[in-house]
Amino acid sequence: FHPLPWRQRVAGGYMAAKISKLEEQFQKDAPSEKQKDGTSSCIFSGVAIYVNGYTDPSADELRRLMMLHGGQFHLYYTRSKTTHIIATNLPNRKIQDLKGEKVVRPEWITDSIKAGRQLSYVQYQLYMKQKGLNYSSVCARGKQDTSSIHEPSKPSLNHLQSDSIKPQPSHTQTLSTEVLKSTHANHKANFTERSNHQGSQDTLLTNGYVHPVNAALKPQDSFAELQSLISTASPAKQPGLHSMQKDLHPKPTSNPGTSAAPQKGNLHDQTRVRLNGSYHMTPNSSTLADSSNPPGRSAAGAEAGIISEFFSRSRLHHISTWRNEFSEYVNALQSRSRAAGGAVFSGQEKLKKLRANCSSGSLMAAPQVRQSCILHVDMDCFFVSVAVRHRPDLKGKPVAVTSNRGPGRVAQRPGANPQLEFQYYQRKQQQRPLFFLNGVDLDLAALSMAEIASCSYEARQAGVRNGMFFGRAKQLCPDLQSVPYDFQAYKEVALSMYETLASYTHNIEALSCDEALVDATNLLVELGVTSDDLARAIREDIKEKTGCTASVGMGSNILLARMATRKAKPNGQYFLRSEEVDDFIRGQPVSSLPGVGRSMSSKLTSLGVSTCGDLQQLSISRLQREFGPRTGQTLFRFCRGLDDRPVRSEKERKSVSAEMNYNIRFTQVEEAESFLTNLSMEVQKRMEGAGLRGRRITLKVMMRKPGAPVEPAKYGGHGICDNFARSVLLAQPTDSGQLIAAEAIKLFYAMKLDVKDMRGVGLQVQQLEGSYADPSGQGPSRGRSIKDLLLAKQPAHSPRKDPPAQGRSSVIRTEFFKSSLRLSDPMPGTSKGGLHHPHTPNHVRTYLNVSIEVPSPSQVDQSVLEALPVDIRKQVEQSWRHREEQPSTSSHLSTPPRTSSSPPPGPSLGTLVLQLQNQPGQPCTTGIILELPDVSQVDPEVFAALPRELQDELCSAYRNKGNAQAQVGKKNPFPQLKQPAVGKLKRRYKKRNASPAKKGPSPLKKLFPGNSPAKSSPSKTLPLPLKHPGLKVSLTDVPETLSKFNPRPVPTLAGAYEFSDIRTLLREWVTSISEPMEEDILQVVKYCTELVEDKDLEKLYLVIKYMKRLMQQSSESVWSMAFDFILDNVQVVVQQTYGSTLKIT
Amino acid sequence: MATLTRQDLNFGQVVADILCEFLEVAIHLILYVREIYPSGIFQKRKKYNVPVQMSCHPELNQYIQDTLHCVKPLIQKNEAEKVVMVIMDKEHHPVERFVFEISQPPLLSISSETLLSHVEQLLRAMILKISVCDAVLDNNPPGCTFTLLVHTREAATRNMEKVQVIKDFPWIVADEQEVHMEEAKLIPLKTMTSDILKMQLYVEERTQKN
Repeated sequence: FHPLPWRQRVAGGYMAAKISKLEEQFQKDAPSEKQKDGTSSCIFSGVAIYVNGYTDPSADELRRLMMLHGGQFHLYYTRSKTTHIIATNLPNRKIQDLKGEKVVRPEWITDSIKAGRQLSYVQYQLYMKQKGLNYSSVCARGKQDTSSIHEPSKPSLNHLQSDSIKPQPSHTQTLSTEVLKSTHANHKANFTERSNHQGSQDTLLTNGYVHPVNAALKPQDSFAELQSLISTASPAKQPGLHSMQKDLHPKPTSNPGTSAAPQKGNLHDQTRVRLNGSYHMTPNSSTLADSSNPPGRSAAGAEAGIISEFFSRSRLHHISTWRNEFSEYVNALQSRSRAAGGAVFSGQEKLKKLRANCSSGSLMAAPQVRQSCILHVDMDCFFVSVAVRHRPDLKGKPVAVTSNRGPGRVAQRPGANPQLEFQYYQRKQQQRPLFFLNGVDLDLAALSMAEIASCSYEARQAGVRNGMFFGRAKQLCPDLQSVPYDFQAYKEVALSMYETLASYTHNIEALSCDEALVDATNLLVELGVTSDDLARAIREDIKEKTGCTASVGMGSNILLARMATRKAKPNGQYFLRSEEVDDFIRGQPVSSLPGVGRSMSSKLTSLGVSTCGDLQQLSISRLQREFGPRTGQTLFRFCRGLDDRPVRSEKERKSVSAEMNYNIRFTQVEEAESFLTNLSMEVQKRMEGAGLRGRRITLKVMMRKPGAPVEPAKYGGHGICDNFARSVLLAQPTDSGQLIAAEAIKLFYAMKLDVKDMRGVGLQVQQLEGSYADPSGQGPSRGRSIKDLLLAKQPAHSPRKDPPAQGRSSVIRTEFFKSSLRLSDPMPGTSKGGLHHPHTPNHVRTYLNVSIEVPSPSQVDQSVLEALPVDIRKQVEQSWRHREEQPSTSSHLSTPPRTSSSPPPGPSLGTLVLQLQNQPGQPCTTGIILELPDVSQVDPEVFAALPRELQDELCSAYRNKGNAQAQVGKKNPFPQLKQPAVGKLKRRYKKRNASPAKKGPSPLKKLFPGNSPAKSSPSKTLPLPLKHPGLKVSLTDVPETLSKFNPRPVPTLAGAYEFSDIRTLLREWVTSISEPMEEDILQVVKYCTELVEDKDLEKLYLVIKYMKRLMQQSSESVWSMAFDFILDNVQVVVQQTYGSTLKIT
Repeated sequence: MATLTRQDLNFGQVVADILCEFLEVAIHLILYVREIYPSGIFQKRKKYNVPVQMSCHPELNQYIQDTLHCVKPLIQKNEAEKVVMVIMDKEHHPVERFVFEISQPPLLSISSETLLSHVEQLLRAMILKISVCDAVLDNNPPGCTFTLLVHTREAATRNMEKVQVIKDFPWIVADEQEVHMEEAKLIPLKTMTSDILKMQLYVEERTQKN
């Protein structure tokens, strides 16, 4: 372990050179700056500032001011040279790192310049508490400030530092004394602390690094750079690129959440305002304007915002998100109707009436035998009919929905070679109808490449097809009218279609925005109408409400219904009867089967299969051999019209992905990287939206096919590409964009691709599971709540983050004494009544608070206590009196109070657990009268949080420690609770479980987040740490979900979970104390109970047997009684869980 | 990269295969250790790299195999909570119950390379524990028989009735008499936790055996 701080070590080589160079530069610039600006002075001579984070005026401006006024400006912070740190806002870690330094608000500089002299910095200190002057204001200031209270404690505690630890100026947290005898522990503590410290320095440095680089590189346009630097989170610097980015930067909403500082929002606004106009381009306008703006230069693909932009415009994206939306809509409907205890189906009512009218006549066919009937409702050329519904002039004319509204001709861009591409497409699509070439001599280059999303039936008659390029379609059908997309209208119409369907039944599966499956089996039986009537009613309804026509196909299963729709179109309905299925399906082309796409149909063609009839000839084994077991079987069934898929209102998502293959033109690897990062954020957004996490991340890349033209015919399109994909499996499911980005970038590098040829990038996350559900998918929302609970509690755990806990005045402390008294009725039997009900989160939370409060009072020594205000002392004494009443009862420990009550198994277990949970509250009453803990155990943060008077008192108490300790025995009015041995033991326990964890996020602490209250507040004298009550409950409830974000919380005793550790602990406990403390016993019982719940009887058995041996051998009969007590309690739990008791021989 | 999650089709299968194989070995061994059948019908075999005893009585073996075959689908679906081997005296009152309590580990994955060998180690430890369990158990009265019970998680029984895995080998709801044992003492034998399986074996023993 080298005491040399990290930064200095690093500063040896490159950094040192760089810093000195920057200083030189500064000196060189200074005169010229002074010349430029007449007002110069030397008020800041001797002052060297370092700007940390965002300031107003900016770092640049400050740099200039320092130049003008004789100061120094450091781009890198050096403790020795930098005199002042300028900041307006610092995170907690930084404050701790910078403690002892002068952290000053930038106003100090500006005001000093105004005043013409160097003002005292004291008033401008960022955190007033640096000097401990203004206590109350700190409380008000919130979280960050509290840790800076820390500061004043440093000098007073410094002299307590023992020689056993190398003095480290910045590491004041290590407060060691003679008690830390174990050098091992010492080292360990040192190490964890150091690593933490390094970590924080690291982040600090990166932070600090980004800014200076930015400032140094291009002071004049720092906005854009700062932004891009932050967004890439890498010190990448390409000046050329940046200027370009600045021009095209649209909307960096999906920045990888590096620092959501307020200034960032500002920056974004500025850039956005500037850029919105320039980026706003429809494919149409861009195709027209393309000669002046060749896409080769539009590195916008590298930009963050284009992704959001792209997806907000992408037709496919809209449609795909809608499907989910409508699925959710249907779900919502269903749950609502469930909640309401049945829904009112207006459509149903209408049908019923209709039927009542008709029933006099014998028109209505008698309802058939209950046979499943699926309706496939599909709007007729949805986009077109939506567009046309308010434009009667277009009715009956060939209409196409496309983005191009022009004549369908565009000028050719340089670099593009459309002919080649068309040839390529032709070759590729030989199986498909070649609608490119119908014998028409084409001037292909001049055609618009905007695709047709949907075209009316009139247009279809002319040979226009969906997906055809508009230019080509225009040739086929010269009077083709084009209408633009109108996503809002589509949504409205689709919604009203779904509403219509929902007025009949809620058994709807949303397939897309314009088609849905309805399971009408029950509905038909209920209403007694035929499916044809129902379909007619639905279609009329839809027509009436939306003004668009729909076709309905009906069949006994989904497959048949969908096939029937084909026959029903346009604007018709068709019921595929079971008797005609065979004939019907034999004539269908295989491509009409779901799941048979281009590649599969070409494969089938190679097998000589073109219709389902042909397919029926193939044996299932042949199909499975060709297509794999599942696909083979599906094909086998489908071609016979068999389909057992149910109509599902909610579908399980298999993957979440974001893909973009428009306008991707990277010039540098960094652009691709940042693009991947942004794409990952998009994926994260979607996964969060769907509440999913996934484990497999697949990166798909489209690369320009070798030999293909650099510029595709379609503006910004991807042209002819090869597709590459690579995937990686994560250990844990994730939805974090940063994580995905990191993996994606790794994959990207592994693929070794030339970024210039990239034309499309896609990220897909598979192997999904609910982000809140446990892996099995059962118990959907339990996990999240627990997780939230934990997360929400996390801040409360560590005193550092809990401002009220730190800045607590004596009044609050008194209150907590009271509450802890209330909660800590230590008699198991008597406490029962009060503890039965409060099994609510609320209660748990209160309890938690109390447990956090415990530490500080428990440190208080007798001598300190005497110095306390009268009211507090009264409280404490009262607690003693309370405690005094108990020895009589605690002597009855051996009689098991709980077995006698013999409560019913289920709830009583809970009661027992609750009691145990509440027991730990007790130590605060007993803890108060314990001796002053060793200095090593004082959490400096807790100490810092104490009021100044208390701190002083504690310090003096520590100074007098020698005598204090000697006096303890005599002073203590309740010797039976306070054997010196207890103290010793406690110290040992504490060392064991607290020292590694108390310095921030050590691995151990991460392992047991639930235990952190005990561990992060090591100053408490509770021998066995409190267990997190919420965790306790959750252990039984959702062990699986818990394990998703941390390893399973193994039951621990004082932080130990290995049997050997437990054994050591127990041995120390039993051998070092003559009489066990009650709460210790209860902790052991609690641990054993947890073992039972964890289904680890073997360990329980071993522990019990070991304790039996230890305790019954002990000379003190109290121990034997204690064992009996433990055993009785454990037996009750085992009895309740397993119906029998342990055999202890 | 043979990493599978529970969603994967054969995950449950893998677990069920491993577990049923183990259960078969364990049942044979218990029969031998607890002297339910004369030691003459047992043969020494090697499994998990330790010697085990396996009966060579075809009908007995068939019974065990059939039973486990029916248990397998339950384990696959994580519907079996406990597999219990009950040893009963002449009056068909249980004297000992070997309970294999199966639960799913918190972290399900078949990712680690060393997984299978690790699982084998754990199973071996359990087998060894069984082979010495007579040390902690009292002797059984003569003329004992045994039966196998499965404790399912709720609702699994209904499916079991519907689907008979083996023809003419249906499940019967166990008699209260077989399940319940008065004054039982619980002796934990072994607990194992691996990435794919968490199981503990304990014996419930009647206090008065004779």
